[in-house]
Amino acid sequence: MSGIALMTLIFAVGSVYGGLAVSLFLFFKKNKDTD
Amino acid sequence: MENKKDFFTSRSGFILSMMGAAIGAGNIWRFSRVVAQNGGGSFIIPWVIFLFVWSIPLLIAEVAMGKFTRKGPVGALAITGGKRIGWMGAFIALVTTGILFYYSVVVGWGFSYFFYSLTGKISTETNFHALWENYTQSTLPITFHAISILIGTFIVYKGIVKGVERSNKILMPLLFFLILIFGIRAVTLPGAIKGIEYLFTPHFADLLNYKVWIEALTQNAWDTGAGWGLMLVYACYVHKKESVIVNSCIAAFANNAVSLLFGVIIFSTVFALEQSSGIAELISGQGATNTGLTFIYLPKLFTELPGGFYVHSAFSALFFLAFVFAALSSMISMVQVAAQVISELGIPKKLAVIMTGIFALIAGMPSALNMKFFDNQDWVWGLGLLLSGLFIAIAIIRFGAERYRTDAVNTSPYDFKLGKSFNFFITYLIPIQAIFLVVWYFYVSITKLDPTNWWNPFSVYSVGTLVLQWGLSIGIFYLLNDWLVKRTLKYGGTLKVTL
Repeated sequence: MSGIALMTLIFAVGSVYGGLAVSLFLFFKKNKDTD
Repeated sequence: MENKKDFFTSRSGFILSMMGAAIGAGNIWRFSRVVAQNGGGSFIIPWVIFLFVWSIPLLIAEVAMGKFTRKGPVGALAITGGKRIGWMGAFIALVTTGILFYYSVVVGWGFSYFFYSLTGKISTETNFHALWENYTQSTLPITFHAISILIGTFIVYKGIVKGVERSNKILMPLLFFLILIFGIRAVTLPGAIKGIEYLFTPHFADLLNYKVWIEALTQNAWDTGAGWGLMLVYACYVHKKESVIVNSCIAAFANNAVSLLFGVIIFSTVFALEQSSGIAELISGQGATNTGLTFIYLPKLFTELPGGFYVHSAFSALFFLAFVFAALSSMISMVQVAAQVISELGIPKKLAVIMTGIFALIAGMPSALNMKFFDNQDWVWGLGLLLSGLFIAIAIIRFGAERYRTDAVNTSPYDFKLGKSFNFFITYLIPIQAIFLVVWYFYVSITKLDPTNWWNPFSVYSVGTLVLQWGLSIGIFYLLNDWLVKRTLKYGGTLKVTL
């Protein structure tokens, strides 16, 4: 895989999955289900 | 329509339902075709940027509006932006309902091909063009459209907890499990890495092409469920302390994560099995409504997997099952929007759901029978979503973006606090993007899609058909505005915001 492809992959996966991971972390950090 | 018992019982239930609404057919059948048509990795960069510039701010705005007002789109916009703009909320609901009318047909197609896969119709002997043509010209689409409506209506009829929440708690984990199976199979095919490389390799010439950026914005506008009113309606049923920002971000990121995964799956498989000829077929799209990719090209691709007939049938069946799960979970939220707006006019909830089901069953039939009608509805209401996004922004601007940020958005102890940049996004960026895209697609219709008949209201992709159908709806809702708002605020919702 070329360097530019790798950089784009890191940008896309980092943004989308990184964003998801951070959001989920915040979700579970204070998660108190209202059950 | 609401009572305290019919609230989402857990944060996970709410977030899975939001994901269910956001993740739909567009993640599977549109994303990969648009990526291929716009230079692979060159598309991915603006697509990620517009996730932050369009989808996330609008999703946050919607969730906050639902939680703040406890009303469907008509009441929510009337409370937020003033009683004079209740008609805008009615238009948002109509756009989503208009999509529901043909989206149920799409869910039905998925069901049909799932059964085709189980009954051995997906094989190396099959002519997939002929199979699709014969299918769409038969009465089967109506049968499966009716089955889809029946399932969707039944789920919403059961209520938020026993219907929406419970179904999404089953559908979403199963969908993720199926995606995992496909992901592992796809990336372990010999040569799959070339597909992944294609997906992530940008070309700077394409990056400088404004059309790539427009397509990236369009994909985000249509794909994440932002501006549809879906999240707004679900957010009516959450606890006061429930987060707005974190939940919106999870739904948006999860949606694009699924798109990216399907991109990896499809490009890995295409490059491993067909290489450049496969990309040519992806680029052609084989049909303006993405049907070619999903119902002609991909089933053919499954028959080229190593392992023989049973492997082909199994992967085809699992793929269409995933497609049905994704599309059905979105369809449920559309039924909920329509039923909520009807019930808030003073009609009992269960009757409103049944009425929605009957309307959808009847109004979806022309799309099930005629592909041109289907394409026209997709064109009219798909673009209508851009106006929906604009109307939500207008309501917030009228309320005051800063006041909205402090009073409606930054209200949960489970959230981080949103900064003042939100005001800029809602006041300027969302309206500019929405107006620009509407004007752009008018231009595309006049110059490319329908240059000789662009004015004709009965031509599939014309400006005339947009003006007629939007204009008629907006005109009627504008005239009925006072009645709609009065009824909605009188009957709609008995919830206390203090809940």
